[in-house]
Amino acid sequence: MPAFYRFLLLFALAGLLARTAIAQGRGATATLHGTILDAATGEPVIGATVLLPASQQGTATGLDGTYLLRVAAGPAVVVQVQNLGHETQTQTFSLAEGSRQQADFRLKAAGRALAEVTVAGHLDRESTEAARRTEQRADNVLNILSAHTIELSPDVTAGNVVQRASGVSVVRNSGGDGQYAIIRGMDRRYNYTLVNGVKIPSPDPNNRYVPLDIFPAELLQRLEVVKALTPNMEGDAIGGAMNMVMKSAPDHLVVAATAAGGYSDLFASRSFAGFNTNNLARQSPAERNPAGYQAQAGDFSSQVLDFSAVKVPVNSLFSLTVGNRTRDGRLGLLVAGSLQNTHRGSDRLFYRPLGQPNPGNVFTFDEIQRREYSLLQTRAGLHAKLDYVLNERHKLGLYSLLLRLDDAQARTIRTNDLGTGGDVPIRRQARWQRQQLWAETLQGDHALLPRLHFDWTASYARATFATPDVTEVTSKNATAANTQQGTFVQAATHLWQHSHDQDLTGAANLSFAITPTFDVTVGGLLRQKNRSNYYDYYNLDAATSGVGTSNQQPFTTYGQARFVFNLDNGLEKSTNGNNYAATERIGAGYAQAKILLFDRLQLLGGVRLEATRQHYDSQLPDDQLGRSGTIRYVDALPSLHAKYLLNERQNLRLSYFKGISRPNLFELVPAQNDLNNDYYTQAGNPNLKHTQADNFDLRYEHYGPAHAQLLAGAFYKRLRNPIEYGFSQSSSNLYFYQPTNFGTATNYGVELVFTKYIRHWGLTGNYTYTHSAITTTKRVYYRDAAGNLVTADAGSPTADYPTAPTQARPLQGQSDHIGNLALLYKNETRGLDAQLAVVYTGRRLVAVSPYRDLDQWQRATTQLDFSAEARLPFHLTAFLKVTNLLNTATVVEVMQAPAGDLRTAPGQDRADRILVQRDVYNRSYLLGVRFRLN
Amino acid sequence: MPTLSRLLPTISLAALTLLAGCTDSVETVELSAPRLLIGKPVDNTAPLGGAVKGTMQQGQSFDVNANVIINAGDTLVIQPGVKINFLGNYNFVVKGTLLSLGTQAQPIYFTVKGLAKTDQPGASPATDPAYQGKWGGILGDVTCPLMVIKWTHVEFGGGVVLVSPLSAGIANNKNTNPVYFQNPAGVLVVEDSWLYGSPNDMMTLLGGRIQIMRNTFEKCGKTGGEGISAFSGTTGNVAYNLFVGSATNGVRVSNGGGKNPQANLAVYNNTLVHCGYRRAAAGRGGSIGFEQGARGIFYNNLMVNCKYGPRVVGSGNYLGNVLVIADTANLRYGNSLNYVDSVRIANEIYPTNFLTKPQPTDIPRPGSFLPAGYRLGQVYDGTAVLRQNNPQFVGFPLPAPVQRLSEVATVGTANFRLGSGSAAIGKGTTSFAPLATSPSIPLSATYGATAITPPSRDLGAYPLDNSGNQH
Repeated sequence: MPAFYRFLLLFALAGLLARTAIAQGRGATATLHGTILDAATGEPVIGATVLLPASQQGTATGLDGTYLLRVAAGPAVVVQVQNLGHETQTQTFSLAEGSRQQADFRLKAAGRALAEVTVAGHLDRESTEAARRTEQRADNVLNILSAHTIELSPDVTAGNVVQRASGVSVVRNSGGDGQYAIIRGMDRRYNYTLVNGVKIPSPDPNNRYVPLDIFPAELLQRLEVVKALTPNMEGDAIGGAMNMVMKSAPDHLVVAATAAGGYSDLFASRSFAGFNTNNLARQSPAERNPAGYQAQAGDFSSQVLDFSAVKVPVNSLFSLTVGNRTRDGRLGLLVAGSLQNTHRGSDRLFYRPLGQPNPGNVFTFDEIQRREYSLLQTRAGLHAKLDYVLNERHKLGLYSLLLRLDDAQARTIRTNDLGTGGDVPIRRQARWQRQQLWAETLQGDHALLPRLHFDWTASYARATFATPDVTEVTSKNATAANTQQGTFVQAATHLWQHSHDQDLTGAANLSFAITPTFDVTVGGLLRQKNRSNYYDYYNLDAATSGVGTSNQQPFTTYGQARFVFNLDNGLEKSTNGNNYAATERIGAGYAQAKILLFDRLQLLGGVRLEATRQHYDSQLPDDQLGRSGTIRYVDALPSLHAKYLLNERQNLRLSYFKGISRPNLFELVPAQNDLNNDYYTQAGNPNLKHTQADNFDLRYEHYGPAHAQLLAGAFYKRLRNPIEYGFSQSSSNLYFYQPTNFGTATNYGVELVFTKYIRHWGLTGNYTYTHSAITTTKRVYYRDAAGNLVTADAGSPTADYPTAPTQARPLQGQSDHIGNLALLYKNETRGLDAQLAVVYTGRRLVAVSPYRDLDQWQRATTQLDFSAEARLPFHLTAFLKVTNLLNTATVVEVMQAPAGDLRTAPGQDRADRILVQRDVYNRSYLLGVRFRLN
Repeated sequence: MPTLSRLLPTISLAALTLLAGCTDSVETVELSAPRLLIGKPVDNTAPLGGAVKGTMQQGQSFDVNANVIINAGDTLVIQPGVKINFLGNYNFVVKGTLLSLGTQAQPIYFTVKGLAKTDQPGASPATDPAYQGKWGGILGDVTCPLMVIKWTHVEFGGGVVLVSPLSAGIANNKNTNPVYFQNPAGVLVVEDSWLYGSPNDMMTLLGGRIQIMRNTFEKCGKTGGEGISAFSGTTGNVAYNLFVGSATNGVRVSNGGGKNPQANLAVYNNTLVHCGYRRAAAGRGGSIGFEQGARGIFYNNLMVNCKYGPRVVGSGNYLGNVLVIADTANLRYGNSLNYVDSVRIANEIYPTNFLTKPQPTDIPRPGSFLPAGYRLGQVYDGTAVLRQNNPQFVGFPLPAPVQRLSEVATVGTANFRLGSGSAAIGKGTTSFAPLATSPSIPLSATYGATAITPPSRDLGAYPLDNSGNQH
């Protein structure tokens, strides 16, 4: 493989150059500068070697294709420019001492063996350049993060990567990592996730949105955020769709490996609490015994809660990618594996809100908790992509993906020692959860006739979730006067939950190019989704001897704590409302056409029809309405995308699409599903309508030279029947807090994306402004004129509120301002890349209270991350990633002035708002090496 | 210039787009119909279950082997002397009207077939059948307009329901309560009845106009729970009841739950004996509790060896407890007598860290033992009031002849009528009227309260004029 050897040579040369460049600098010098462009495309060439063969002195071009080189002055200085895939070019200059000479080169593609041209001329699909090109050429509005961007970013999971995209903010998990994406202020439910263009089911037990922290970033080739749907895409997104394009088979041998170790400095101040997950019973007593089994106290162990302190919790990260293609190019295979072992944690201060506020809707809480979370996340990913070219006209691909995220969470919750006496509860919880996603996709691509193209996809995907034996024990430190004092065991809970969500999907598309500028595509999709959730729990109380308060069980260790069944009968809780089974069938067909008019205006439009049939079986007794239910609807989803090519570098886009959002299946199940809530009853709602939205987009795009980019746009969305929680009447005298449709909501905003490179430096950023509004019914608890305390809501009108009180607010999760700014440094000569990235997420609504004025808002955050990599000999690169440099806390507050004792309570540092929750994650570091052959 | 034929697809596309965009799709929802149960006339020729209505004839026995349902709009009348035997964990589900009309001579029984009370003092509650919930409860649904329970024994109820037969309130897999009511517009009358044994609250009231008078409550709650736990939407009177050995309080009132009207109870002339000892958590109360926005009055109550005196929850930092202030502006109380045999409970006549205001009409007189400058909720030494103000019960010697105060949980052979020389005689106030609900509770031998007994000059459930508790 000549290309391979040339690569080797170049790498060796680069190493050599790095040294000579430093040694240089004495004697009479002149300055050479210029830009290296590709002769064919006019695009700058990054990393081309500019070399003086005489002195072996040289440099490499920067991110904008420019270079700067100080050389010895002379009458005939020979300058040579080399780059893989381009012909080497030489020019000679006369350089006077102290002069500045511009020397630009336009490199021609190398033209030796034909196969090699293909290789060299092919844009590396993982490159930023390719990403920009795709964005420019795309038929619809999208943003792309390339593998190179991801690799250089401080992120190791897709959940963190996605927040770098324009208009996207993330909802974090309890370890501080991004988990769900909010696109343009549209909450999780309004977006969907694709892998290689195929929708995947979610391991979440109740929701259809996919946790993104399950995806190791190393497996991604690129991440696309599609903000305007075309008819050939599934129609159930309103915010957008995230498409994770996984690495595909290369044209030549690729071997890449990464090994890294890391540390989080949260565990410098406290130890990491770990536990052995092997001893957790994988099945509940009811599952592992014959039907009707009545569990005994001896069936449970709480020993797992005797956490072990891990002194130096070291994170590790390994990945390996191997890919190759047969000599004839017909069979390509890429296999990539990733294993991440991460210790994360957070310290949380939490004012647990009480279900009912004080009169006047004044915030009140029942406990001040200090929670210490230690999370050991083991993230394993394996994927294989195989493509086979039968002949020039027929291609087949098989894609396999297996992802697993094990999350062992050790939680210790202490109620803050504030008061003057009483019982201080201490809760410990060991929660281990496994989320798994397995997907197999078979795809075919057939050029039936020169202008008739057919492709198809058959996919099986299964997402599972399991939390075996979530163990919680409550003990208390009794300090009250006139009672027995000490630390006593109180109660234990053991919970088993597992769910699955399985998709069988078939899709096919047929496209016909009527003319080179006019093509028509028709296609369809069928999907059968099966979803179920199993939920079983056991509540035990501390075993005591005899009667009364003087016979409490002193606490020694969790392993020795003894429990008995008291109010719980020990039977399986199969009738709990969280147990459900549901199916969903989607049948879709579409027709779309694409036409280029006047060589400038591209129009893509069409309509998609989606038929939905949902069915659930619930735990309601059969004498109640809706024990099982079937819901059907058909949507016609038109869209039109216009792209006007102002010139070669500028586009103007205008698009409209209609999108929908289907309720989570769990939300349709009418069973009452909240436990231990004395204030209102939460239930599903089979009459919940799906959301339908009209979406308009306008975008101006400028693709400057040297990857410079400027995108500016505006969007407007009108949502009918958005799904929000509120009180509604189920039947006479019966009201539930349930997912409900609330009229119409709007969401609009503007977006700006820019990228600019100046030699070694790059600045890239994006900013999104969004505004949304919705009005929902709320509760007001107040004292009326007669001096009575009354509650006004949808179910109970009062004299002061003859109709239900309402409140207007933004959509949940929407921030007014979202910004990203990254400063890049790239020095090919030294083999050094660095990036400093800031993410700003404006204030947003994180929890909607049933009560007016008590919604919980997350304070605006600014997170700063740093990453760097340096090239080493032997195909190695060292990298460093530091996340959360500023130790940004997540703060959740209620916009109400604290009163009374609350003003001086811990963490209450604002006079105008009440702190509800504060999470501190600290910094984490990752240091590693990457090996890459080609 | 483009030709028309080139533009045609574009135009048709745009037209299609507009057309399709105008129409909203509409759901077709098919929900499984509820199983139709027509109420059958009740008879005792076969074990009872399903929907019933009509009259349970005087003196008959009924075995229950499935949930018994009184449909909305239907009425079931139970005549004196009827015995309802539960053969298992089933409920009396009242969506319509229930009239359980026992008499002093011929009381009605809701009980478990063949189960005897094992009332040995000091026995572990873990094995006592009283706390095991052998059947469910008389469960009022949101539609129940009237539930009348007179001269009726309700025993051994409160079991776990696998699937709740109610449309709200009780969750699947959770404990029921022997008497459960949840219609703020409905009427609940419980008079002259005996309520014995429950794993949790004996009565949970999530709304209702209530008249709970002259009853005897025993063994309410296993390791927690009250005799009566009333929430928002509940208004009425709780008077002349005897509570013996409740796990926590005899009566607790809270305005939690989001219903209207505000929880408002008149709690007067009750006798509470040895309550509060099966609740391990501190500060939960052991006699009468008003919390979280509840309003009302409590006067003329007689407390004997209760773990805590009446507890008015105030705001403040009390660990581990929901501490939401009662509607103190609309709470009036006084004339409470606390008799205590132990220093620990003498120190909690005015519970530490709570807001109960000592009243000059209280017995013992607050000034006689509280320190000068006493602040509400302050720790104090109550040694001086030990064994003072003996109510001189006719059949219950004081100091209590028991090893542990927690041993007393039933009446047994005791008699809590006042003997001569009782400190409770003549110490009550009659300056207030029973709470008039809106609309008022009908006075009727059949469809309402037999008698709303006004307050008495004597403290407790057994005034000397014999107008109170008849048990």
